[in-house]
Amino acid sequence: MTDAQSSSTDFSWTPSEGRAPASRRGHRTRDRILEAAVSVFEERGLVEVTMQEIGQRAGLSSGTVYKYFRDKADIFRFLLTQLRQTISEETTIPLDDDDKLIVRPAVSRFLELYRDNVALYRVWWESLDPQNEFSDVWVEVHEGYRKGFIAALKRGGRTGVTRPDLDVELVAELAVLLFERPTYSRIVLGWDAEIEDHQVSAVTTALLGSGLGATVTG
Amino acid sequence: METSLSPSGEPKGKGMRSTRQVLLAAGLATFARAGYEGARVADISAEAGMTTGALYGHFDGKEALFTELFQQYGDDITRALNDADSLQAQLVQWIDVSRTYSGALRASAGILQRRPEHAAARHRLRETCAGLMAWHMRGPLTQRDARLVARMLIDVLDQYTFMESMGWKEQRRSVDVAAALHGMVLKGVYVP
Repeated sequence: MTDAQSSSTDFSWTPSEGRAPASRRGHRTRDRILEAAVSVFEERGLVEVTMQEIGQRAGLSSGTVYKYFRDKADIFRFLLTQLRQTISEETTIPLDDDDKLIVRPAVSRFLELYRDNVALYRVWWESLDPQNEFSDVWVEVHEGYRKGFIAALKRGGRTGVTRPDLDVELVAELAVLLFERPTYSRIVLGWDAEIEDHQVSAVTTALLGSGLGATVTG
Repeated sequence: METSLSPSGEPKGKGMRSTRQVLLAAGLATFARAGYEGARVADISAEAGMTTGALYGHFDGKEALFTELFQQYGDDITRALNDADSLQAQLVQWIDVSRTYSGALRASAGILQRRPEHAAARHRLRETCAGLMAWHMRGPLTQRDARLVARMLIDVLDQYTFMESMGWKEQRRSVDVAAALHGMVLKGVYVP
């Protein structure tokens, strides 16, 4: 989530034999399929969805859908390849002049990314178990974030701003989870609807800043 | 694991675990290994050393067995949070109890988005537990804010123990994990 983002897993979408759109019209058809898939995924996830259903939503025969994608997982693979690119470009947490994390805008961006891609995050989380290519990417993104936090906290350690008693490895892990899971609960599961973004942001900022010690005992 | 799988009201044989408890323990072990979808009724029965018929004699099926396991998890964790005398102790308890039930939690994660009634049960449990944790966050923080913090801590630990159950993370001592998280709540990560 900081600049130490890595992308080591060999995961990407390539059209299978003869499935790449050859014309502008072909591209438009493929986009229509993708759009339909996203809307079906958002409502029902991946497991129970069929190619036929995606075709119906797009107003196309399932034969046409199979012309572009091998199966529904292939469609998700295409969309996840795009999402991963967006994630690596946009979810960074910059450091301020004192080498401290600037958390607040990162929380907003993270929430926004989830909202913009709620269908994909829904399918992604649903696909974590049993372990497969999609959970491998999930873990890889998670590890990328974690390494970023470790680098940022260690940098702060060298300049004396990070708490010296910090278990950096563990805190970096928890920091990533503090972004990932509450956002999942909120955006994908739809919990905590009465809470506003700025409240979530305030807690995250405190836990990755100077804490809530002034307001909490125990 | 034996002690946590002896729910109150469960009829117990003399010194023996009831068939029902053996089946629940087998379900827990099978879910831990294979997740919800990967665990077949035949696998759970085999794990218990029984026939599928014996399992169906006690449960309507896999879902009913899972539901009871999750109920036990909820009972154990609320009891543990009630008994703990500080937020930090509660965090330790959360991790320890969740690890005991890691099979049930792995199964829960697998169906959370597809079974609205299970999602509702899990959400209710989170609310109950957030209330119990918020109670230990005294001071100028309003109860509403304290509950929000508690929910986020629960979410963090839920995901932490889920990743452990998938074998993605090495286990760290629960007191260390709790201390790190509690330290973030109190002091954050930077020197004042």
